[in-house]
Amino acid sequence: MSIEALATNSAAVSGPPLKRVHRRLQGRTAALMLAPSIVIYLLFVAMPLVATIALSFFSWDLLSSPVFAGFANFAGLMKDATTLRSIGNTLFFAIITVIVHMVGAVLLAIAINRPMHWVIRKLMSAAIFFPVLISWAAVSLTWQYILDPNFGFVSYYLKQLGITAPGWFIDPHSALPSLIGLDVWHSLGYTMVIILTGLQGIPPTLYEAARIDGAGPVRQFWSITLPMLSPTLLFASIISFVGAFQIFDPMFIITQGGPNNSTISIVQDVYYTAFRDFNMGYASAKSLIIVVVILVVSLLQFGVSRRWVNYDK
Amino acid sequence: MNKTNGRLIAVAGMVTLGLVLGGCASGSGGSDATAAAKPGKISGTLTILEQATAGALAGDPVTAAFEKKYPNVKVKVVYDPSTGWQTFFANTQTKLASGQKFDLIYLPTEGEKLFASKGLLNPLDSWTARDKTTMDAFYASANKTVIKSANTFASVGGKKYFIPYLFNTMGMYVNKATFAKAGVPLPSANWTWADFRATCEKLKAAGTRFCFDPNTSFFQGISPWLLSNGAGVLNEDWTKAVTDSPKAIEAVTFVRGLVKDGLVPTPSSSTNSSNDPNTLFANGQIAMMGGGSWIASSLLAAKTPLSDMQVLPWPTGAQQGTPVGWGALGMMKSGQNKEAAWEYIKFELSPQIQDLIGKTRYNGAIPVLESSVDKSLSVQPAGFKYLYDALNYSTPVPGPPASVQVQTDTGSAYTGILSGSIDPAAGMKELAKKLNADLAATK
Repeated sequence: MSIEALATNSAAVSGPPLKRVHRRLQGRTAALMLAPSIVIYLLFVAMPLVATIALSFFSWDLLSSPVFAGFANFAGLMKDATTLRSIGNTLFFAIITVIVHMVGAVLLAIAINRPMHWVIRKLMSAAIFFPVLISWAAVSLTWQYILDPNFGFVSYYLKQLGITAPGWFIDPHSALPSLIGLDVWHSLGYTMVIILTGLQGIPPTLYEAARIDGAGPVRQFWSITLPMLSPTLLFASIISFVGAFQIFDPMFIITQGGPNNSTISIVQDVYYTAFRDFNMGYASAKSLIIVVVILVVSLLQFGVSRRWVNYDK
Repeated sequence: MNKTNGRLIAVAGMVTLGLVLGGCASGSGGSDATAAAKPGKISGTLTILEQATAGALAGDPVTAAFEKKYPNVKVKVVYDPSTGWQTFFANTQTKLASGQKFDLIYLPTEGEKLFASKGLLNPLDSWTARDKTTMDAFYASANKTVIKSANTFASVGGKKYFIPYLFNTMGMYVNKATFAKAGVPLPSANWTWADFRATCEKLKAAGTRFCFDPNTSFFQGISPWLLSNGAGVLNEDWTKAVTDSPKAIEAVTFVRGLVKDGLVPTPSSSTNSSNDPNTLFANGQIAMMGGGSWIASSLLAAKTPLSDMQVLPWPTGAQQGTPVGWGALGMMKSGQNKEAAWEYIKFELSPQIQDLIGKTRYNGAIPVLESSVDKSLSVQPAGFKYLYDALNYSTPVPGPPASVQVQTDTGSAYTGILSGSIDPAAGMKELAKKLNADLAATK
């Protein structure tokens, strides 16, 4: 074949129509790869969300047909003392938990990231992470026993030391702080692993340069560690808040929202409204609060992050 | 977002909404009631929903006897693993909403009005009229208090939905071995609250860890104390809360005093107690516990010998008092085999099965025929007959349609009062307001 003919043929094969075909094939392949995730997302996230929004305008007890209720469910929310209390409890739980998680995880991650034998590092990481692997049910039942005021060994040994133990889970003043302590014990390892990963991604040359310039450990922490860790901190804080705001298991198993509604969480309130009181429409309206709060707080976090998160490498 | 995508999303949303609302419309309560036809052949499958008590899971002699009498019927018992009636009612409603069909559901007093008022059950009036001779014979021998209470409180709209075949009252189980070890004489059957407290103080002085388990549940915990002081949780027709009465406040204050003085342990933070009271009773850490007939099976399972158990009447406050609850099988409107369901209901009432219920501690309850109770005494703890005699001064445990909310709120308030986190008077008054709101919400 002559060179001119080859050139003509090549132009015919690699021109714009071929690019479109190629792009279409690529697009279809991508869609096929993404299809399972999209289907799962639609089935378990999008459709339930649409259903929840729709149901929140109805009154329905699961056993009879739904009755349109307009905005009555939302109006009821403002007057529902239990719901307002559950929102307050959950916000308190989430804010304190996030603060403790962030501070505790950073300190632990820095401690583990120091020069040490890799075996010791692995053992320490595993020991701190291990509670994360235990189910909430097992954790709750075990700690309920440990902190039982009559038969638990913590109260027993405190009494031997002459200290009057608090009521832990049965005193409204100490029940929520006790649950916060339990959550920190259970989940701090997870946050620590995230922070540790971020720490290990900071180039050591920055610390070397700082040392040469005479910066001490504290100055290095504020000027290098924190700024370089800030994207990881943002991620960890959002994840921690979202998880903390949806807390349910320990409240349900240990305190059942008591004593005197001092530990009821918003998810627990939604559960009782839906599956104890069989008021599905009202429960749907309450669950939209969770969506709104998480959305607002996440947007706030992203908005504020522009001031303190550093993406420079 | 371009117009095409926007339209697609809108259509998807409308389709989803339609599917959701269409699915919601298919409730389980849409079946019509079935009146009794002429007696037909008893065959097919009969599906019964029951709570999975330890005794029930160990074997069902009643079902076995029914299948022997009616070999063409296959009885399928579905056991719900819930540990309390509130969870059982919630689980049952969820099962029904998901489309599961049952011919019969075992319901205690606390749930009968709830299910009857939702239009799920078939009235039994035409069925009892059809078999009048059998029913008359039963009513002549059954305990009149239980039958009258059931007819009064478990009927809805003038229609009868339940015929009780077993019941429970509350008594006090004492561990004779623990008392003997402490050198404290057993209380007498006509003991008072003051005697109860004195017994607790003697046991504590002798080294017994705690004298009594402060159960905070509705039937087993707060009700006997209130009723034995002339008070209650709800009024006689279950329409109004009466926990703010001086007698009710006095009752919970008395029990709180026992906790405060270390005679009784602080109640656990939830019903998921880490300390099984049956085990504590068996190993002598608790000398007494309140309960009905079902306690005997639980204590035997926890290795308390039958010979160590003694039942006494509940101590008297201002008067003798105990709650009474009965159990019955509700015939589901949506059931597929109503003839067999009715035969099963009648079968439970027959003298032979009532005897079997008594001797096997079936469902942890007492048969409604007194003759059957007497025949079962040899397998029951000493003093068991007090539980039957307690019917004379018993009050039906409230079972309004809002029973789940009533029981939950009462349990929560009582736990707070006993643990000292809520003042008894303030707590009981606040409870009255909550309960009245619960009752109003389900009118």
